Amino acid sequence: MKRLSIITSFLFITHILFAQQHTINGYIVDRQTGEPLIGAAILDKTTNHGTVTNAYGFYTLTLPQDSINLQCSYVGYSTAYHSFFLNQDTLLTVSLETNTELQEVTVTAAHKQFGAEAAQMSAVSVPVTQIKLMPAFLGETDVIKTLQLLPGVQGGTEGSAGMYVRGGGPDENLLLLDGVPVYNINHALGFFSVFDADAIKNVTLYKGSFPAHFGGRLSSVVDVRLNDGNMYKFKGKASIGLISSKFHLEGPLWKGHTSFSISGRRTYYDILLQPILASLSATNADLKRLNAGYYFWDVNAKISHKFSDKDKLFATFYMGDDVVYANIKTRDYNSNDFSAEERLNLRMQWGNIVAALRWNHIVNSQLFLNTSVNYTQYRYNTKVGMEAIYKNKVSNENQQFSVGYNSGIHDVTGKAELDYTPSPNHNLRFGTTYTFHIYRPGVQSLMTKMVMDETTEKIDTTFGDLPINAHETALYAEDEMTLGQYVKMNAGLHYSTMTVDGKFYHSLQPRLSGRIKLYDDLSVKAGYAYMTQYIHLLSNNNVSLPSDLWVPIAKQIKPMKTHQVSLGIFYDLRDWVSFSVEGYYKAMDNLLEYKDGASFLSSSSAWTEKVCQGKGWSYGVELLVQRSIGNTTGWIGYTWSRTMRQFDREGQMLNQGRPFPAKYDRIHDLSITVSHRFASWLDVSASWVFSTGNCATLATQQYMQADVFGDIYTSLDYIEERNNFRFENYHRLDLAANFHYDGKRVPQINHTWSISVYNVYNQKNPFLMYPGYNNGQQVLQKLTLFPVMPTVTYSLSF
Amino acid sequence: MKYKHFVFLLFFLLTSCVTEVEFEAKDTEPQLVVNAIAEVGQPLNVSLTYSTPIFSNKTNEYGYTIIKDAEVTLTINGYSEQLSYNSFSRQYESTHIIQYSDSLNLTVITRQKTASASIRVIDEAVTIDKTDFITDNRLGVFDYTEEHIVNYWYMYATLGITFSDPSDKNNYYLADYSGNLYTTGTNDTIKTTVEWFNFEQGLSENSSELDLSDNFSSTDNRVFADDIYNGKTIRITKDAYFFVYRTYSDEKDSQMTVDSLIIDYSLYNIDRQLYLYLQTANSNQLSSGFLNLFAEPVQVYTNIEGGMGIFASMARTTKRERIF
Repeated sequence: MKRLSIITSFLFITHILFAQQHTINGYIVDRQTGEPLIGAAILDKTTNHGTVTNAYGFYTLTLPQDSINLQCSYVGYSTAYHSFFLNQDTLLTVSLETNTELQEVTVTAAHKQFGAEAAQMSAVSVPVTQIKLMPAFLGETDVIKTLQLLPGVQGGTEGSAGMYVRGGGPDENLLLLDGVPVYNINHALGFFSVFDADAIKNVTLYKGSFPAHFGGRLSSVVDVRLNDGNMYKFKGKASIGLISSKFHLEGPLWKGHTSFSISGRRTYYDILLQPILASLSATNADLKRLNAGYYFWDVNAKISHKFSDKDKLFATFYMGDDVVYANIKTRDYNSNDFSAEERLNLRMQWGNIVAALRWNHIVNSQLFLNTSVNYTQYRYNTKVGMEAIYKNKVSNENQQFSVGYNSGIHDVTGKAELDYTPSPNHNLRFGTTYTFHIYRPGVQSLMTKMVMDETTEKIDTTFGDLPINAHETALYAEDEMTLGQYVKMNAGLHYSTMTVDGKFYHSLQPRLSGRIKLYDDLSVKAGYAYMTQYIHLLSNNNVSLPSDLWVPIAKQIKPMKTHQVSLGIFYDLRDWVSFSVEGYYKAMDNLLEYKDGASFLSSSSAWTEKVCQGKGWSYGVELLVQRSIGNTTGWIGYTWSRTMRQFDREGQMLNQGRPFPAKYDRIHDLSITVSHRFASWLDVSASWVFSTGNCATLATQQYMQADVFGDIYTSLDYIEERNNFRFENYHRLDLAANFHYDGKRVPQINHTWSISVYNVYNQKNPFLMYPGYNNGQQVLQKLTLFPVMPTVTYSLSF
Repeated sequence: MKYKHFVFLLFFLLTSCVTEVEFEAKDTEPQLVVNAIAEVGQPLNVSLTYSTPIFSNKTNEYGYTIIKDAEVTLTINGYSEQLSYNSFSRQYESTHIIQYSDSLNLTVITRQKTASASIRVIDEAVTIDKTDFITDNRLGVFDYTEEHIVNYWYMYATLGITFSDPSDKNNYYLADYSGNLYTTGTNDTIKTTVEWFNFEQGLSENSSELDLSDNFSSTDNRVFADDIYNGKTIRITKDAYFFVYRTYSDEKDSQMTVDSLIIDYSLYNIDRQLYLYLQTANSNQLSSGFLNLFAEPVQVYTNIEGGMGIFASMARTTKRERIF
């Protein structure tokens, strides 16, 4: 009996000791700035257990009680090591030192997060440093344009910032700025995006296998995180380009506790145009005053406050507008007896406002809480006013007329998310979101006023669609599981609801992705995601217009949904180059297309009458070879894909019910992007893109209409198939060189001259194609917007 | 031309980047076009043409090649008839008078192409229950109980056809109105012109007005289906504007009297093929051209195998009314 007690006690103590585990958690930050690093890797070399920091730079790692050797790494930083005996839960904030000698750095972060090691597939993180090195379009490097160079992502028309991911439309992308959706990402009709590269810390694109915490859109998630601001030192940057200037400032408000980051930019093409307009006005006898132009501006601001190691508060604000204006005053007639004057005022203004208040709290060593209250708004306002003043000796007459149109969307969101790490093999994430939407599809205003001497007649009224209120909720849970040495899996469920017009919609969406490690650097991954989308963007596919309307589902319009499966092989060649090949198949249902003959310019019928719903499918293979470290960085991305649509429902038929290629069915899409640092004072980058041309519907013949009422000579256009015509193949080379040097008078100031050439060999890529005439012969013509365009930008930073 | 500098600048900016695109000729091979509407009580006429390539180097004409030497066979309820070409009407003509429920097959063989189509002629035509002509003379210009001696004369009116839609099947309709104003008092030196402008058409059922102006946005688009009106009493209306005026060749004057107005109210029962064809043909015309770049192009419905065009049937009911 005594022997039995000893054995039992021994086993019990052994079990306790063996099962004794402790959790290390905290943030991984930049040593110089205190900026949390997203996707930084932390690995215990003893047990080979590791993890990566989340979107807030937080990590949690549960390990057995023992001596541990932690290795912390991140792209562009020196690896940090920490060794100690782990005998209790430990809060450990790791600071990493930036390292300019990148080729000597051992980096495991990249493939921990999305490479061969991770369970996540169909996701790419693009270093912001890489984005800033890219050739600039009119002096502006752009996040979205950089993402367009990745496999599986296609741009819209020439120069546009639209995104078409794996056969999805531009409204199927969830674009998040610090976790808050941004509805209109375009400036200048899509030639620039609202994301200012100087204000950004991290950009991650998800094209499939979406984790359960994302929802609401079908095709992609672009997660853009802003800089928190330097906690220790003031830093700044200012740039002057050919058409725009911008600045970025960051620094401590309370050293080590509170920081700020603010950046802003404005184009000044309208200001440059003023002398030309003034000379036009001066030489035209009819014009008294002429003032017109276009500009956009935006500002990003963020304040971060650290209450303690466990509590942080963030306030994010973005606001930006595009403005088109024209003020014209004419002098029709002027004599001693009579004078007439006419004025025309036009103003179109559209833009976003985004605000977020976020609180990060470490509840305990295994539980991390992120709560936020968000507001996002997109508004489009336009007003055209005319005034005519007639005077003679006996009477005065003043006529005023103005029409306006206002539309927009407002969202208020409350969000709570929890990261829970009960054991080294499980990382649970769950949360809930509630959003109150107010859609304002369009309100017109009309004002007329006529003053004749002492008599005044006035009409001032508004009319149009009533606001639509909608309630959207989401509940999700996911678990990232490590199942032995070779298998890792992320399984989750996302449940969403939408209540609009008294009708309730809901959807349960399973998500699954996993990897099997074949070797240390080689793995096979597979994923499945079911997504539902309750809102639509009413837009013409060719151009991005500010008048594009976000509308919720309606009784006649069902929610869009997709099922996507993907399979891929991932290989990381000794932290030097990563390779991936992914194949996907995506089935889409309840997609929207304009009906035959419908035009978004027409306002004679409700939007629900102009569209029809059908299905679609896309499939393809994507190849990505990426190098993120060293003096030479960049990637080669190639996609072979097909995207088809079929609208065969009764009363909603297109192409007589037969399948047809989508407008952006580009079979081949290749991009090569390279940046090389020749010396500390010179880096050069180049990108070359090639893709199959877009599809368009083109009538090739005309024929006689049947004679029912004697209309025998009426002609009809013969269109064999919808999207029967392909534009020419698209290709373009862009180059950029950045020259850096330190100031002689003020050594703390660094100067950079950036020279970019867009479309180096002046390829005339089509923006628009249309029938025209040449010597009386009907021909097909194309409009090219951007020939070779060199730009110079000067910037200084301190 | 106050803004000509703007226009010039915009034009320069746009045209400086406009180039012509080489278009592959293989896409422009002419197609055989067969148009044949079988109307109950009438013989069938078939029109055969070739389509014209839009982007052709050989021609800039919009003329169509009329096919005169084709072999055209119409099979009616199993009996075949070879159609002969009439050089005056430029159509192939049948001697058979189309009857309700006829089974028809049309085969066309030309030197290059063969096309065919089969239909069953519609089973019946609905009758017009009532017609109406409503005018409120709100402009006070015309009172047709009195003679008018004016240089011009105009009137607004709403014309209506009321009928009962059979509930046992899907029906498709087409409404048409034609009228004649008879005037006296004209002579060699005075030309009297009568214009009849068509305005928005409407559709109502059971006296409850329904706004379907979109369906009737064009004067040519007068077709509709009974999808949501099945089995109901339907009233189709059309707003019209009558305008009569005189132009003078010398200073002589004479009096003009509007004597009478006679309207033919016609209601066509059309088959589904003709309905789809007319709907899409109308949208095709509205969406073509440079000004409609943003409109989605429209494919015109066809049931011709090996070609395009339409082979369909209809039956007409007409009621003539003398308004005054």
